[in-house]
Amino acid sequence: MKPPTVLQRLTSGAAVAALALVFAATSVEAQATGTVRGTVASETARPLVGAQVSIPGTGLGGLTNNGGQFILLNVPAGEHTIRVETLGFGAQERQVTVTAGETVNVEIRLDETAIALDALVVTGTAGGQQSRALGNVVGRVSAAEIQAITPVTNVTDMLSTNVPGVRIMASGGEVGSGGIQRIRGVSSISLGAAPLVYVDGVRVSGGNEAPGIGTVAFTDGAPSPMNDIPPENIESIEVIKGPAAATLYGTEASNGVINIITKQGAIGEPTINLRLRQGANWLPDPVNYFTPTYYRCTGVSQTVDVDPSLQCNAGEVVEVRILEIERDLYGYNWFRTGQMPAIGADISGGAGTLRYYFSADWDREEGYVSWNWRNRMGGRANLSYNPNDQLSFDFSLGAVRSRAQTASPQQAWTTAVLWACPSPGCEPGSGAGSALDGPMRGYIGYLPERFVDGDVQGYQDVDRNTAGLTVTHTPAEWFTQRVVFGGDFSNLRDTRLFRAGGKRGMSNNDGQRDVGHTRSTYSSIDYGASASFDATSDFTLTTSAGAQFYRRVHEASIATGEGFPLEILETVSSGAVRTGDEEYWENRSFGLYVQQEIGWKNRLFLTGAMRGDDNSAFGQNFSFVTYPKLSGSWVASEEAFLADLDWLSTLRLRGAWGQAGTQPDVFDAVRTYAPVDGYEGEAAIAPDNVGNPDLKPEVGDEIELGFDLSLFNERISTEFTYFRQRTKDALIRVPVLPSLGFPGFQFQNLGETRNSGIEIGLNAQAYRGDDVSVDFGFTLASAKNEVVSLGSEPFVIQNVTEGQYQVPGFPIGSIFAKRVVDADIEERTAPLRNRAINMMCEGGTRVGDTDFSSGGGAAVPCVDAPLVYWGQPLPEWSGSASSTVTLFQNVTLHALVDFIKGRTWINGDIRSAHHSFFQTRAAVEATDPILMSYLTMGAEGRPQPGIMSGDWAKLRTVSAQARLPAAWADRIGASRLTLTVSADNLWLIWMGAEENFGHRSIDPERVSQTGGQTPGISAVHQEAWPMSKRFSTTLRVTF
Amino acid sequence: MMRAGIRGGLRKLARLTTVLVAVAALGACDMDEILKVELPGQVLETDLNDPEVADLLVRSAISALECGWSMYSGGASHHSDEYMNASGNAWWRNMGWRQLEANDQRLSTGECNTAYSMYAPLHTARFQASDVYRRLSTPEFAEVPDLQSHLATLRALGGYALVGLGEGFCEMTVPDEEGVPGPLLTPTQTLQRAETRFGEAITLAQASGNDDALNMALVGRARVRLVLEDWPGVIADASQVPDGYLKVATRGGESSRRYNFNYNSVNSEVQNAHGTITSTFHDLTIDPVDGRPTQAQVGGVPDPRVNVFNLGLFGHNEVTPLWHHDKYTSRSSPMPIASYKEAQLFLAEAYARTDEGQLALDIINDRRDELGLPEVTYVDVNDEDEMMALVIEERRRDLFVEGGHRMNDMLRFEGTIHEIPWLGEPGSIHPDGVDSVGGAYGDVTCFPLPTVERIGNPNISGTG
Repeated sequence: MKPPTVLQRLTSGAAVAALALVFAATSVEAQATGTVRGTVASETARPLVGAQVSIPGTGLGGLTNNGGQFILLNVPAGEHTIRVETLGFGAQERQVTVTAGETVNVEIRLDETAIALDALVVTGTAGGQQSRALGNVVGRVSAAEIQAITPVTNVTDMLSTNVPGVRIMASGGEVGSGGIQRIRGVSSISLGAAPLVYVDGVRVSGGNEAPGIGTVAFTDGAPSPMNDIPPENIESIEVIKGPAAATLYGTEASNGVINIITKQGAIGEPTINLRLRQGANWLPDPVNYFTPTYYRCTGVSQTVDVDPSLQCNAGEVVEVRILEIERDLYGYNWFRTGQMPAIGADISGGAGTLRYYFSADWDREEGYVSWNWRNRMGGRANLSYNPNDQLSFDFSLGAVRSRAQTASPQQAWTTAVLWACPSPGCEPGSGAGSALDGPMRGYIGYLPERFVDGDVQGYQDVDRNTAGLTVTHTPAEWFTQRVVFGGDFSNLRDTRLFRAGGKRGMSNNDGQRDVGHTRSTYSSIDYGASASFDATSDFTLTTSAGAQFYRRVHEASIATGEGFPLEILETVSSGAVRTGDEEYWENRSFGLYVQQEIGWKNRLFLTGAMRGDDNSAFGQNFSFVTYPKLSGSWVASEEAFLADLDWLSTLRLRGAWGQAGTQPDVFDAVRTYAPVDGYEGEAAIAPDNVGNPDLKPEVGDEIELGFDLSLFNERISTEFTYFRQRTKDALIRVPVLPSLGFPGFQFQNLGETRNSGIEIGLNAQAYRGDDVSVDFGFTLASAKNEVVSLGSEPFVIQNVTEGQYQVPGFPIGSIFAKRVVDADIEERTAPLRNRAINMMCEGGTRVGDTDFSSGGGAAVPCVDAPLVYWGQPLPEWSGSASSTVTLFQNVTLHALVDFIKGRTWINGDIRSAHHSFFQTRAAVEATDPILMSYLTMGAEGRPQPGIMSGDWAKLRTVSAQARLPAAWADRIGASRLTLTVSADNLWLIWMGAEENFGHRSIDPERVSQTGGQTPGISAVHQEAWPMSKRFSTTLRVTF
Repeated sequence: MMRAGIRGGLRKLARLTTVLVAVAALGACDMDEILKVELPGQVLETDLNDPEVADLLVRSAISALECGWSMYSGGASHHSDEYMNASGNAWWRNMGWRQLEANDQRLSTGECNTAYSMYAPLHTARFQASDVYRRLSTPEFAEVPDLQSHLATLRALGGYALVGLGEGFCEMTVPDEEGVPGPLLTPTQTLQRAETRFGEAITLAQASGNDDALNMALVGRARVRLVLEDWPGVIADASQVPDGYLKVATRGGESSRRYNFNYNSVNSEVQNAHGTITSTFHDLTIDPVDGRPTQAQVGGVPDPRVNVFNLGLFGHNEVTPLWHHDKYTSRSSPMPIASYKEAQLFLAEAYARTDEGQLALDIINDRRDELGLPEVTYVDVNDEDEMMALVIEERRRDLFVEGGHRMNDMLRFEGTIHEIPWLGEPGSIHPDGVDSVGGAYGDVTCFPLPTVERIGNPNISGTG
C-alpha cells in the first residue's frame, strides 16, 4: 500500500486533531492538566491559518484559526514537545513545561520552505497536482506574505520582482495606469504577450486586451483589469510560465497563465482583521528633475520689459528650467505630495459544514499632480459548504467599484515641460507663442492651468463583479470530479471633457465630450475529473480529463459631442456636432483534454497529456487544433543512495515538453465590409478586413529543463530552469497590398520565432539566531528571442517611423537605422542651422536582398548605407536581490533591488528634443557632426538621437515591519498589532545610459503600451509621467 | 495481489473512460453551433450579392471616391507650395518638408479616416468602383433600375481614382484583374488607364442619358489628356462641358472620413493647425491697368479667388503664424472634383499650346469678367511661353486647393521653362532648403510608390 502523503497525513491529522479538541474540551480528566495557548506565524509575523499543532504521543492537537491561534486543553502537566507543521513551511518543535491549572503561552515562527514538494498546484486538472509531480516550474507568490512585509497597492506590483521570468513593465508613474505583463519575454510577433488570468479557477479579464473604443480617458497607459482586485483579498498567486506547463489551458495559453487564489475561511472562531494605511506619493525636486532646455539668444529680450533674469545676450546659449521660472517669478508649484489612505477589514471563520471569508476594502491613491487620483472599493465573499465528505461547494464573489481621474486625458503634461522652448526658442520679445513672455509662457502644447482648472479632464469608472461556483465531488477515494461555473462582468465608463474656451492648450478648445461604455463578459464552464489508483505498491496511475467552454463578449459604445457654445457645458448633447459609435464582438472556445500521470514510489513521475481546441476565431478551412505534452519529475533526494547525505535536503530534477496556442483575433479570419458614413451623409459600406479562411492559431512549443535544490536543512535553496520555446505557424500581419482595395493587414500563419533563457531563484538563510535572522533572496532570468522566419516576407515593418522591424535572424521588434560614423559640419549663418556634409555611415553585410545589416564593415556614404541593428526593445536579463533581517522575532527589515539589462529603447523625449524641437544644447550649438548628421538626414535620422540603453537598477523597496507590544493590543481587545512602513522607488541606482548627445535622460523604467503590431514591444516611449517615490505606513489589527 | 490491483485499476479506468467518452461526445455534438458567434456590426462578402443592395453599393463607391479625393486634394496642397508646414508633429512635418518616405505608414497603408493617407483610399475607391461594376454586371443584378446609368457613374468614379494615382505618384501599380497584383506602371500608363475608364463612362452615360456622369467623365478625360499632352483630345472633351457644371465630393463633420481635408489641416482656427498658407498666396492682386497677376500691389485689385487672412494664431508648433483661406469654411464644405471652370482652363492651355493664343486669352478674360476682375491686355497671344505663364498663374489662383492641380503643374513643368520651384528649392520662399523654424526640406516631388507595394507585389518586387 502506498504510504500516505504529507497532505494526506495533514488531512487525517486535522480530523484527528479536531476530534481531540472536542474530546479534550468535553471530557473531565482526573489527572492534573494545564493549557497550551499560542500563535503560529511566519518569519514575518504573518499568522498562519490551518497549521497543525500537536503534542506527539498524547493524541492532543488542533489547527490554527484565521488568526494563527491555537489552544490545547487538558495537557498533562510536565515537559512536552509542541510540534507544528503546515504546507510550505518547515516543521518546528518547541519544548514547553505545563503546570497544572495554568496556561502556557508560546509563539512559534516557521521558516518558509522554498521547495514545497507536496503543495498542491493549480494546473488545470481537477484538484490540481502535487508540486513534486510536475515536470515544469510553477512560480508562486505568497501575496499575504508580501502584503505583510511590503504592502503594494496593485496586484501587478506583486508579480514583477518575485517570480523569475515574470516582468511587469510600468508604463509610467500615473496613478491608475497599468503596465505590460510578460512571462518569459515575448515569442509572438503579432499577438500580445499577455498571459491568461484566472481567479479561483474562473477565467477573467486581466491581460492586455485591447480596451476597445470605450477607453478614452487614459491616453498614457490603459489601466490593467488585474488591478481591479484588491491585493488584500489574495492569498497567493501561481504563475504557469510557458507552453510546456500551460498545455492543458490550450489555445490562448502559450503566454502562460496567472492563477490568483483568494483567501478562504478556516474552521474556528471568527477572526477579524482590520488594516489602515496612509502614505505619500511624490516627485522629488521637480525643478531639477526635468532636463533643462536651451535656445540661442538673439538679444531681443533686452528690448522688452521683463524680469532681468529672463533677458540674455545675443549669441549666448540660454538654459531654461521652465519650472524654476514658474516657481520663482510666478509662485507656481504644479506638483504636490499625494496621499494614499486605505482602510479595510475582513472576517473569516467556520463551523460545521460552512466556512466563510468576507472582506471590504477602500483605498485612495493620489498622484503627484492634483488632477490624478483613484478611489477603489472592493468586497469579496468566499463561502465553502461541505455537506459531506464527498461533496463540496465553493462559492466566490468579488466586486469592485472604482473611479480614477487620469493625469493624461490628452497627453502627459510633462510633454510641455520636457519640450519647452521649442526652436527658435522662447526668448522674451520674440513674439512667438511659446516665448516666456508669450501666452504659453515657454511651454509647448499646454499650460498647466489647463489641467489644474479642469479645462480638460478624464475619468474611468469601473463596476466589476466576478463570481464562481466550484462543485467538487469525490464519490470514491480514487475519483474526483469538479465543475466550475464562472462569470466575470465588467463595466467601464470612460469620460473625457475639453471645456470650450480653454485657450490654454493646443487643441480641442472649442469643447468636446467623449463618453465611452465598455462591457466585457467572460463566461466559462470548466469540467474536470481525475482518477488515481495504485497499480502496484510502487506504481500510481492518475488519469485526468476535462472539457472547457469559454465565451467572451465585448460590447462598447462611445458618444462624442464637439463644439460647445458655452464654457459651462459638459455633456455630449451640448455639442454642435455629435457622433456615436458601437462595437460588438464575441469569441467562443471549446476544448477537451486528457492527461495520464504515472508515479513510481511517489518520487518519479511521468505525465503525458493531449489538449484539443476549436475556436470561433479560427478560419473556416481550419477546424481543430491539438496540443501534446510530456513531462517528468524525479525527487532524487528521496532515493536511498542520496538519503544519507546530511547536507542535501531536497533535489528534484524536472523536464517538460509541451505546446499551447495563441489564437488570432476574432475577426481576423473573416472578409468583412464596414458600415461607414457615405455619400451626402447616407449609409455606405467600405472594405474593412480582407480575412483569411485558412487562419489557425500560432503554436508555442517549449522544452523546459531544471532542478530544485535545497541544502543544509533548507538553509539554501535554489531553482534553476532552462527553457527553449519555438513558435510555429506564427501569425504575421502581412500588409494587404493597398492596390487590391482592402486596407490594413492580413494575418497569415507564416512565421517562426525562437525564445530561450534561464531562470534562477535563490534563497539563503544566512543566519539564524534567537534574536536575529538574516535571509537573502535573488532572482535572475533571461529571455533571448529571435525571428527565425517570416515565410515569404523578407522582413515585416513594426514601426517604420521609429525604425522597428521584424527581420529573420534578429530579435523581435529590433531597432534598425543608419548609424553615422563620420561627417563634417558646414557652418551657416543664423537663422540657418549648421548642417552635416560628407556623411559616412556604418556598412556591413546586408541580410539577403534587404536593407538590413548587423553593422560593422567599412564605412560607406550614408545615402548608400544599410539600416544597421541597434538593439532590441525587450530586456534580455532581469532580476532582483533582496535581504530580510528579523530582529527579536518582532521586527522585520526588508530591502529589494531590481534591475533589467539588455534593453535598447528610443527615448522619445530626448529624440524629439534633439530632432523635432531643436532645444537641446547640442542641437542649438549644432557643432556635433554625428548629431547634426541625423538632423540633416531628416526622417531617416529621426530615431537615432533617442536610441540608448534602457537598462537600469533601482532600490525598489525598503520596508520595516514590527509587531507592537501585546499590551497595546490587549488595550483595544485585539490579539495582535503590526505596523509596517514601506518606501518604494527611493533610488535609481544605475542607468545604462544617462544621456544622449549631452541631453540627460530622466527615467528609463517606462514602456509604451502600444507598439504597432504587438502590444508592449514598442521601443519608443515618450511623454510619460515619471515614476514617483512612495512612502506608506500600514497598521494591521487582528481580533 | 498485483494482478488484482491491476484488474481493479482497469475497471476504474474503464469507468473513467466511459465518463470521458461522454464528455467527448458532448464536445463532438454540433461544434459549429456551440462556436457560432454573432457579428452584428459586420457586413460579410456574401451579403453583397443581393440586388436589393445595388443602390447601397453605388453610394458606397461614390463615398469611397469622395474620401480618397479629399485625402488627395489635401495632401497635394500640403505637399505642393499651396501650404507649408506649421506642425511639430513628425508625420506632418515630413509631409510639409517633403521628407515623406516610401515606407511611411500613413502614406503606405493609412485608411480613409487619417489625413492625407491618399494611396490606400484612392486604391480602395478604384477597387470599389470596379468591384461594384463587376457585381452589377452579373445576371443577378440585371433587373436593377437605371443599371446602365449606375455603370456609367462607376466607371467615372474609377477614372478619377486613377487620376489621383497617376498624377500624384512617381510610379504606380493597378491590377489587371481585381484581387491579383498588377504590373508596375508609369504615371503615363496609369493615366492611360484612367482615360480608358472615362471613355467607358462616356459611352455608358451617353447610352443611359446620365449627364452628370457624362460631364464628370469628360472633365476627367480632358484632365488626363492635358497631362498626356493630347491637345486635340483636351479640346474635344473640355469643350463639351456645359457652363456651370460642377461635381463635388460631399463632405461632413460627422466623422473624419467625411472631413474636408483641405480645410481641416489649415483652416481650423480653433485648433493649432498643422499647416498654413504659403506666403506666395497672400494678398494676391490684379493690376487694374493691364490685368497682370500681381501680389500685394498698391492699388491692385484684390483677387477674390484666393482670399487669405490671419487671425493672430500660431500653428501646432507654436511658432509658425497661421494663415487661413476662405475657399472652404468648415469640415463640411464640399470639394470640387470636376467643374466647368477647370474645363475652361484646360481648354485655355490646349489652345495656348496649339497656337490659338487668342482663344486661350478669351477664355481667361471671360473668367475675369465673371469675377469682375480687369481683363488681361499685356500678353502677346502669339507668344506661347507668355501665354502658358498666364495660364499657369490663372490655374494657380482659380484652382487653388481644388483637387491637386497645383501639384500637378509643379510636376508637369519640372525641367521646362515654366518650372515651379518646390519649397526649399532656389526660387522658392525658402531657397536655402530650410524653413523658418530650421526644418530641412527633403527632395520629394511626386509621391513615392509605397514600400509595402514594392516588396509585397511579386510583379514589381525588387524594382526601384
